[in-house]
Amino acid sequence: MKNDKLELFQASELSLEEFSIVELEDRLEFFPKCEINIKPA
Amino acid sequence: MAELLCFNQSVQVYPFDGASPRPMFVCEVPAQEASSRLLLPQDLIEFLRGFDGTKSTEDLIQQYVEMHPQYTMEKVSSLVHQYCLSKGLLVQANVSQPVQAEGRARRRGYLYLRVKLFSPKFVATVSTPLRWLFEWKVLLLLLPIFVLAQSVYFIRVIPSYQFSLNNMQGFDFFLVTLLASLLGLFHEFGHAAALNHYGYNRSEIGWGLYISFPVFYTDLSDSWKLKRGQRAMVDLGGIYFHCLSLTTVLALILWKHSHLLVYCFFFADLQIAMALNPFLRMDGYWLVSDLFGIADLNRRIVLWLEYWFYRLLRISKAMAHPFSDLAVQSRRFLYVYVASVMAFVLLLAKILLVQVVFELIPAYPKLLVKFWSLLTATHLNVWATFDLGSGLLWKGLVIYGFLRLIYNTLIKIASWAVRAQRTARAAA
Repeated sequence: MKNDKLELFQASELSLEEFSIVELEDRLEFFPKCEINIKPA
Repeated sequence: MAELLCFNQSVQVYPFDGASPRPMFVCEVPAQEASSRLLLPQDLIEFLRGFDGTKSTEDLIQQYVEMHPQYTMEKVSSLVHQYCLSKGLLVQANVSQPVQAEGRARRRGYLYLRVKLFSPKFVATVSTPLRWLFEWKVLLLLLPIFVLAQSVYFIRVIPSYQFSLNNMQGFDFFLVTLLASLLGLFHEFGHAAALNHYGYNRSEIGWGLYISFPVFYTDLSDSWKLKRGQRAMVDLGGIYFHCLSLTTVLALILWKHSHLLVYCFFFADLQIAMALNPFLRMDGYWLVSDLFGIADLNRRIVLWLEYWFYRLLRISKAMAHPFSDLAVQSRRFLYVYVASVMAFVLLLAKILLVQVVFELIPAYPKLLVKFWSLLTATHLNVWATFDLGSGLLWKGLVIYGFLRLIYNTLIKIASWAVRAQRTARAAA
């Protein structure tokens, strides 16, 4: 929560887009874990 | 005394293969837990490299502003002091600096829960002997076999079995879930093996919660350093391994005639279709991002929404159009993508809202009471307690994920409102 608030203030102070800076995300390639919720008749 | 700063010598810089007409570079800032990566334009890299511990910060900023009159001294000073120092791109000269360590929790980002299942060392041990599968000759040889396997399954196997989900019993569901989960893990090793093939073997495999969905993940952050085509191959590596395992499953079906494997094949195919979804951060998302060379696909959409938020408030100076730095072709693609994402997200939001707000949350207290009464019963029914307990846990995670999503959205809108207010005040 603290970090989100920090981001809130940072966003209002400095625009990274203006300098063409991109903070690259961690590349987490997801795969949906098998969830079978079909009940047999 | 003038302030002296240095470009952090432990930062590694790699050229980035993307859609921007400006040359861009990936800066990897090492940290104790996990490195962070930033994409910076060439002129900014050159500016930061100018900090050698001998030139005064003020002079360097002044020189940069003279060369780039679109920026003010305050803005560049704010970039240097607020951003570059905190991110570890710059460090104080002649001061022993600890390696920049931005906590993992801060960058967990879109994954609400993250549990490591396999360490990078273990993943490297498993994936290294599998690297040869990504040789072109092997790929070209296996591709027709995969097509044949799928054709045989749908044309021959399904009609010859009485394929109906009603034929499955409770334990069958458990076994199929288990098998499909194992195939899912093998899928993750496919990504890791592809990345390993291109020279990087620091992938971690784990389990997490994405929006409200439990997922397996592989950390493939090193692939930012690869070329577009190589990144796309890493994205497809999971599905490639899935097809490989399904070919083995088909062979077992034809040999053992196991109806359970017939259902397993079917569910695995469904999973592959889901993984190709380009709107959630699954394989399809990264594939689209890499093929079009747009590293921050999701962020661009959020920026586009932010842009229109300001336009609606009639504050046009708050930010430039988020697609303005892209080539025309990439821009066109993004408009189509944004429209599709909006439609998909609205549909998903409606389903989630109905399911979580009107179904899961109202029923949850009753389930808790039932679980408590089962736990405190004189004769403990282990199976029923486990069944209800795991259901409670799973449903709890879905509710938690949904509430986090709402919270994050509200925080984002609040940050836009703050920025709008500041811009309006500055304009006045």
